[in-house]
Parts: sequence; structure tokens; C-alpha cells
Amino acid sequence: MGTSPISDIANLWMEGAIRTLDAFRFGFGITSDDPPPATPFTVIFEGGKVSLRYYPAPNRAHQTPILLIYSLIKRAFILDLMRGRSVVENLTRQGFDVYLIDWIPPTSADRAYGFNEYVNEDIGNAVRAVRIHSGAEKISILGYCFGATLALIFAALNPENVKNLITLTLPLDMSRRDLPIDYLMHLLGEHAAEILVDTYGNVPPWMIFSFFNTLAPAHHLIDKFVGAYRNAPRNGFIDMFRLFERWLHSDVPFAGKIFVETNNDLGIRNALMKGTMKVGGDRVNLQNVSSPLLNVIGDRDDVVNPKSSEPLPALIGSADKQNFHYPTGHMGAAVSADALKNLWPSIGRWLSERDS
Amino acid sequence: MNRADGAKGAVDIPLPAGLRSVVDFAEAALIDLPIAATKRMMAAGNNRELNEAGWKAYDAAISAANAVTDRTYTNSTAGWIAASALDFGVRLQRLNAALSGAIFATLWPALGLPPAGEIEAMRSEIAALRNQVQIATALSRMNPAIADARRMPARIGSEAMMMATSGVFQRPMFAGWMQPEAGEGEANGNVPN
Repeated sequence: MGTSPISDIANLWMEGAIRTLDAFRFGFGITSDDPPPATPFTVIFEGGKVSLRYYPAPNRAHQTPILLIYSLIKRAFILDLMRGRSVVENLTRQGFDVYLIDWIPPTSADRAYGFNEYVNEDIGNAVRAVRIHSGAEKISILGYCFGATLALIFAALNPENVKNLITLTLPLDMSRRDLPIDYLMHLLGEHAAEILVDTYGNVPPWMIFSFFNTLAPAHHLIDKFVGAYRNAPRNGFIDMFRLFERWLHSDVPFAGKIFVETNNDLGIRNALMKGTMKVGGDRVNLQNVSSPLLNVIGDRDDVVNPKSSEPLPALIGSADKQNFHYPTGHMGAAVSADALKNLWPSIGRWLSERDS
Repeated sequence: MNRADGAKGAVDIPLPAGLRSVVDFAEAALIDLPIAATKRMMAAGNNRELNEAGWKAYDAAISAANAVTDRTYTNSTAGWIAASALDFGVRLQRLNAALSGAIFATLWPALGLPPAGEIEAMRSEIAALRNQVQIATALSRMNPAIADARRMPARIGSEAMMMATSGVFQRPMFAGWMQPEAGEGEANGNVPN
């Protein structure tokens, strides 16, 4: 029995509206469950804000394991969304043992969690656990979005632990003003960011959710639901749409201290780019990064300005370093069929050439 | 192609992206769609033609809306207004939080109820204790050298870790504490291999 286009769109919109209301509810401390994982894993370590997952390769072909570090503002299940649309599955099938930091959302007691706690303590412990578990002396680290920022800072402070570094859609040069988001990111002054954290402790998830929706209101209010209706006949599209929506509504609190540091040091002062940033009392000197670097840039990224990522190779000390431009958007790099068919095998090849 | 006058073979006139979206929308909504609808009513066209014209008008409307949004965000005056509103908003929030805190801090105890802050503090304390127990449990399964390393800052700890993994202790000893017990994976919501 067929249904009318209007009722189809209305149903999808209603589902989205309910998820949006849920997202606002998260602001009061409730976090939604992740969907079932696509790839089997075991949790090998939990401590601080880290739950470390291990995804063994079905046929291990490479010595060096990969540690995936995702952003702090949404859930990491986007990297293992569904069978055939999973970065984790893609890498394990290429013969890599994969570890993933599944960040534990901060509570109100964690408002003082900053770069020092996330990088020097949590990522430090995760890297240590991966080294023990895998037996590898050095590991490959792949950071995505804000996770790439964390990975880069870790690699600059602990170069001896990093065999290869991959930064994917890295926000670095915050002085760029090309995209609407570049302007929006600078609306909050230093003092306002501090007041916000004084008031809320951590940045509430609904605030982050609203910020990203504000970037493209026509898309988030109407067009994506109409798009789902128009693409519904495509095999598996609606399943993918629903999972992606679930991820879009998976915002978690952003710890107060790291929010202020991100807004004031990274954003306003552009400190990482200028080499003036300090974490745990140590200056983050990007010249200390000595491992091979692959800096993957999404040419159609409208969340992280591609031009913001470009300067990285010129700033680090490695001899083996390159920008890798790929025609994809910010999330397309993780979930698009094209990226999983072409981009991730390219990343795998780059890693395998630097495995020994 | 920018068809500013809509005539076949007309000279292309380059337009800014935002303006082009608006022109495309006007063209689709005011020319293509009425023509397709009229042809359909006169039985000269078909449903497919009308359908395509409708979707074209819709796509053009969304593009125009996106262009207007982008122009607004990149406009310096709009940016200044938004920044001021945001700044005012967070200050108002703090004032509101301070005032409501002052009022309800006395009201709830008078009614014999704990203030939200106390409940929140207790929840945080329980969560912190849970975390400590979790780490302590993990540590108890580990070699003392690793336990010490994990309490240290990353770079100092890594040296202890190197010592621990350099042959003084063998790796299988350490792998055990990290592997879940039989059935533990399922209890954690993990998918068993």
C-alpha cells in the first residue's frame, strides 16, 4: 500500500522533531544509548574519561596498531555506523588492529577537564594501554576533527610514542574567514565563554546541537527530511538516514575548561598555529612532531575550513609529511560510500608503506 | 549557466552565488512551474513534467534560503548583533542562575527538600567513586610497575611502562587484566567475537 509524499515527509519530520526534543532533554543530563555496534569489540581499558575499545583484524597483516581518536562533542559510533559503512570495519578488513577511544561524557564534576587532562592523562593512558596490549613500541594515531587536534597535541608532547600520525579534517588555522562557520566560531568573546562555563559548568549538549543546526537551518528543518523522502527508493538509504540522524542528535556535554581553552587559546589567540599554546605547563611546539604525517583534508568540508588544515605540514618537524586533499565533506569522509571505497584504502596503503 | 533573461542563446551574465540562487528560484517558481502546471491543465503536458518543475522550484528555494543564511552569517553588522546578543544572553543566564539560586536555596530546605545542587553534587560524587573503584579494580589485576606508571604523567609513566614491558615482565602477564572475563563482554554491551 502506497503512502502520499506529504505523509512520508511528515512522518520523517515528526521523527526528527522527537529526536530534537530528546536532544534538548540531554541538556538535563540524559544521554541516549548508542546503536548496536557494527563491528565486534572488547573494552580493554577504562579510566578517566576513556573507554578503550579493541577491534581485532580478522586477518592481521600489519604490525602497527591504529588508535582512533574521535571528537569530544558527539559520540564516536559514527566511525562504526553500520556494516559496509564503517571506518573501523574498513581498517580491520585491511589487516589493521584498531583501537578506539570511546570518550565517556563528562559530568558536572568534570568541569575542570582541560587539554592537560584529556591529552596528557587520558590519551597518555590509552596509548600506554594500546602499547601493552599490542606489544608494539610505537603506534599509529588517527584523529578526526577535534580528535585530530587532541592527537596533534599529543604527538607534539610525546613524539617518542607515535609511529605515524593521521589528522583528518583538522581545525588548525583559526584566523581564516572563508566559511560562515568561521564567523560563527568567533562570536563568543573570551569573557563570555568564561561566564558560560561559570553558569553551566560544562557546555550543555543542546547548546552545541543548536549551534550546528543554526549553520544550515533550511537543511536541518526541512531539506534533509525531503531528501530522505526523495532518496527512499535507494537501497538502504532510510536505514542509513535514521542512523545518521541518531548520530546528529548524539551530542554530549563539552567539559567547561577545555571549552574555554578551545575558544580562547585555539580560537581567539590561534595559539596552536602560532606555537604559543601551553598544555600542562609545556609549550606545544609542533616542530617536535617527528613521525610521518598524513593530513587528510575534505575539499567540500563546511564545518572545518579546508584552508585551516592546510598549513600543518609546514609547521611540523617530520621529514615525511603531506596534505591529502579528497573531494568530500566533513562527515562524508567517515560515512560516504565513496570515501570508504577510495579514501580509506588510500589511508591504509599509506600506513602499510610505513608499517615496518 | 546563468540565464539572466531566460532567453535561449542569451549572453551569460556572471552573478554572485547568493544572487544566482535567488534568480534560479524566481525562474523556477515564477516561470517553469506555472508553465508546467498550465500545460498539465490543458492536457498538453504530463505529470512527470509538472513533478520535475515542482522539485526544481523546491531545490531553488532551498538554495536561496541557504545563500541568504550564509550571507547573514558573513555580514559584519549581523555578526556584531549576534555576538552582542550572545554576550547579553550568557550574562542574563548568570544573573538568572544567581537569583534563582538565592531564592530556592532557602525555599527547598524550608520544605524539607534537598536543593538540586546537593543532589547533583551527590551524583557527581557517586560517579567519581565509581570511576575510582573501576580504576582500582583494573590496577589490582595489573603488575605494580604498570599501576605506578598509570598514576604518573604520560611521559614519565611511559618510561616505567618501557621497563615493565622490556622483558623484566612478560607481556602475557599484562594482557590478562585488559581482556574481559568470560561473558564480561556481553555484560558490557559488547558484541562477542
